[in-house]
Amino acid sequence: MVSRRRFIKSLCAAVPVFSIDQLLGATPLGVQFINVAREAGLNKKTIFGAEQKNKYLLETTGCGVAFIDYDNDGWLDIFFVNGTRFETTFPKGSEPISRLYKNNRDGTFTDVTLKAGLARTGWGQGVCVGDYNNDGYEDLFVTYWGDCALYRNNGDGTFTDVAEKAGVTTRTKTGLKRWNTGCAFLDYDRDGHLDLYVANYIDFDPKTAPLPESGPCLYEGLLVACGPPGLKGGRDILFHNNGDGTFTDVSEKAGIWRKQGTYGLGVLVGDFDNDGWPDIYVADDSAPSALWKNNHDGTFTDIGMEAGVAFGADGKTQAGMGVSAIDLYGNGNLDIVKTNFAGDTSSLYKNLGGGNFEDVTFQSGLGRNTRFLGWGACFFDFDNDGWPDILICNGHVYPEVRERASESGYRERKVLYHNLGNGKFEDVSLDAGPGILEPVAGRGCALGDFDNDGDLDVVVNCVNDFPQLLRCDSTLKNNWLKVKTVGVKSNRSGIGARIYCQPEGEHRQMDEVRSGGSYFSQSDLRVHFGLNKATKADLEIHWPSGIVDKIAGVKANQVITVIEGKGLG
Amino acid sequence: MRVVSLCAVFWCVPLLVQAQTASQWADRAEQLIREGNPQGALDALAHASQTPAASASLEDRIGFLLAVLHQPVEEAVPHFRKAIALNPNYAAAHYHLGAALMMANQTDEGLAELKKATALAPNVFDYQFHLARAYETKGDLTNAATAYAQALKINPGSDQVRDDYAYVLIATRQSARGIEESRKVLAHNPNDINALMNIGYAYLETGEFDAAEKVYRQLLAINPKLAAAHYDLGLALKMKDQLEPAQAEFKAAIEADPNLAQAYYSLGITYWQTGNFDETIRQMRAAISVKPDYAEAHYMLGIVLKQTGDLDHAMEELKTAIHLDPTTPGPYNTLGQILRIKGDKQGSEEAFAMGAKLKREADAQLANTLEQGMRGGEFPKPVVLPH
Repeated sequence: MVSRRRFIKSLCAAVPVFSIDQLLGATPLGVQFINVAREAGLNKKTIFGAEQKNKYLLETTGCGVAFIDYDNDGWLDIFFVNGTRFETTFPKGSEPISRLYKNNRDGTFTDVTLKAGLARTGWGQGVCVGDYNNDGYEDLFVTYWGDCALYRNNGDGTFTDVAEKAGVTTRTKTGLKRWNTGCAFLDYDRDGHLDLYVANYIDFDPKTAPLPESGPCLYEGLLVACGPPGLKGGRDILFHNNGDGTFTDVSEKAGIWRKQGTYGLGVLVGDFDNDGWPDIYVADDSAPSALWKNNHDGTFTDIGMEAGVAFGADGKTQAGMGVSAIDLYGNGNLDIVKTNFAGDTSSLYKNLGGGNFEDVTFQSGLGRNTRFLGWGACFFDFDNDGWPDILICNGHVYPEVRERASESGYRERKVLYHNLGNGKFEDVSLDAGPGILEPVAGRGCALGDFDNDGDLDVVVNCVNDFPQLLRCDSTLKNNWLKVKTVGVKSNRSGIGARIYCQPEGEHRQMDEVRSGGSYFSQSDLRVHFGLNKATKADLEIHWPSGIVDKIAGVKANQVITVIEGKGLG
Repeated sequence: MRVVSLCAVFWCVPLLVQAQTASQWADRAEQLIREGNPQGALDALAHASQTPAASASLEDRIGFLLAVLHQPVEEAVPHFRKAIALNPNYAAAHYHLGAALMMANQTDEGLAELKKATALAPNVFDYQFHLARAYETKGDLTNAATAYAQALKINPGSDQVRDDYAYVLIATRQSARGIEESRKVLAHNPNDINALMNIGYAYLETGEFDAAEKVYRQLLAINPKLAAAHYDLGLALKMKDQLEPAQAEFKAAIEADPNLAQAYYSLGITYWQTGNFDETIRQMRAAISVKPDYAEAHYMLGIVLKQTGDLDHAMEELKTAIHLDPTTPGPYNTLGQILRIKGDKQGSEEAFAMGAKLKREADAQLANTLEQGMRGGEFPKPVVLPH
């Protein structure tokens, strides 16, 4: 019998002992997510409502987060939306404010919020990124319960809130504050200027809103914040970019207001019917989710029910929260994942083509988890094997629930589904590292390779807690490619551009440059492809303008810039 | 599911011998009952009924004895009514009439009579107990709880009433108090099945699935064949996403009680969650064979048949579900999707429109409840958010 000591010694002789690769290699996945937020300098808490007991639903929904390269240095910076509290007066200068962290290119970040002119306190909600004025610098749109902010990137490390001048505050004539939620830039009329979609949740006024006791509103026997059912839903807004720095509210004209009171949250833009025009999918809470089909004439039609993406597999309305899209099966169609409430599953909708979807949640293996309450949702190829995986960020709505041993408490772990390449997913959360397993009250999450090492990292905004920056540490050595798009005739960000990637010897992939998505959040605008073992790939970029760029034999493991009509930049 | 029984009302009678007056015929009937001669007792009661009764108590007694003899309650009811006519303040007659009417499923009038009985004699344990059960039968759990509490004040030692009281407390979302009452029972009877079932139920209601699991395992150690405990344990495990152990418990519940339709249904749902549609279909069909009017099972079967591509049979099941429960939007929505796939655009739109209408109505009802709450009015029921 080999003694334990001899056994360990034999291991030491065979392999290096103190190698991080060995440590990671010992894990079944070969990939670990490690939360490095604190050491990276992301050390400010997000404040959002009371910590123990909430009076209003507004205190529960949390905030989004954005990966944005605001200074065009090729390194992703991070913007966290922040909230506030009722019945709390913060000392002057200590109010919770949204934060911009500049990437120091060494794994750490510096808080540049004040210098950048982004310090604003309020009930911040969502964020989306796009170069709305085509000046080569990505701008930020931040939604609030109240006036939204359009932060124009001045190109010198500072931003200016031009929402008022641009006409996108969303202020109402009656003085009622809108509860703006998810947002996305898109060029719905393909005129080269980014328009803007802003979802709305509830027409909320604390003076008239029901209190937990007045319902009484109960969840598992606990008095909790009332809604959204029973409360008046808000109206989503579509702004048309006039091309001169201003926008026009075209919601009514575009047909968006034909559907009202649907408690809109996550916004996802994609060409779901492959007609070359961007459509809009909105995850609605406690109401049928909407799929706004672009009619190519400035109007939209909600085809969510007919298309099969309005309900769960059982035909029931769900509490839709976060959304993501990608071509999951390599068939050239954008599929959708949507997070929902506890007691329900996340939904996976397979795009059958022709505007038809099939709910494949249960066939694909996503039906096993019902105990979590999902918010942020991202398709991403965490192991670069060429098959998009799924990350779900969780956390309960009600702080009254608190912690439980059964994983369905207020703070919850994430769920990571590994794509097995055959239409099925395996829950690999338990093998994916402490970053996935640490329970938090997660809300918005976004993807981006902040350390430019070729794998996708995750940033998470948590309620009344520090954020998470989940560094992906992989020993798999699979190849990858990232594509940054620069529009010329199309919008400068290239938002809406569809990229086909054909890795040598592997299946073809497709994704689009996308603003918004997940839950109230913005992932890196650069499109990431895992190439598995392929060392090069052919790319085809279909721009919103209709121009198609084809680039053959692009070498793996690099970030390339493609300029519309010119190819590699 | 709880079955509220009123059998205990008509119980144990004193002994008499002679039979000449109506009262004596009644005494004779009572004696014959005790001697095990029901036919003789009925004959004696026939004599008693033919002899003009002089008092409310006698009419009440004749009705009572008829009920004891398991005659149709309709035969006893006129005697109770006559007793009340003779003496409107005769509490026992109101009590017996109320109980008889409840047995005859005339619940509105039955409840009204039981209320009169308790109003006339508020300190009679049986009256309060049966009033509570009548409220429970009617679904008025708040008043049921009040009546159970009153019964317990009169007789604090009744475990049966305390178990019932605990149950309605939990069902009215007062789980902590329900658990407290059940623990009082367990303090002197640690193996009281009802008390343990109540505690498990409370934990399920409050989402404390680990605690619920522990209680149900304790119950099953006492009685391994308890179908309800296996079923509830299965639910607790299912809520924790432990699907295979949950399936084992649902199967054990079915083995212990093959008529437990919910167990087939829940077992089917766990198979659905794992993508095993064939087995889901099998379990839903089993649930329906046990309980043909099981709307949820027809609905679920329709969904899974749709997912397997059997659209025609799916439509049949969904239509049955709608027939059984026309108030749920889900079957309409699923039907709309199928009709669209089959190319019936108009039918599809109509089904979706119906689903949307039902949803709007439900939302409006909720809005109304919340508005009432803001105005400080009476709340029809709490706004319970989805689990």
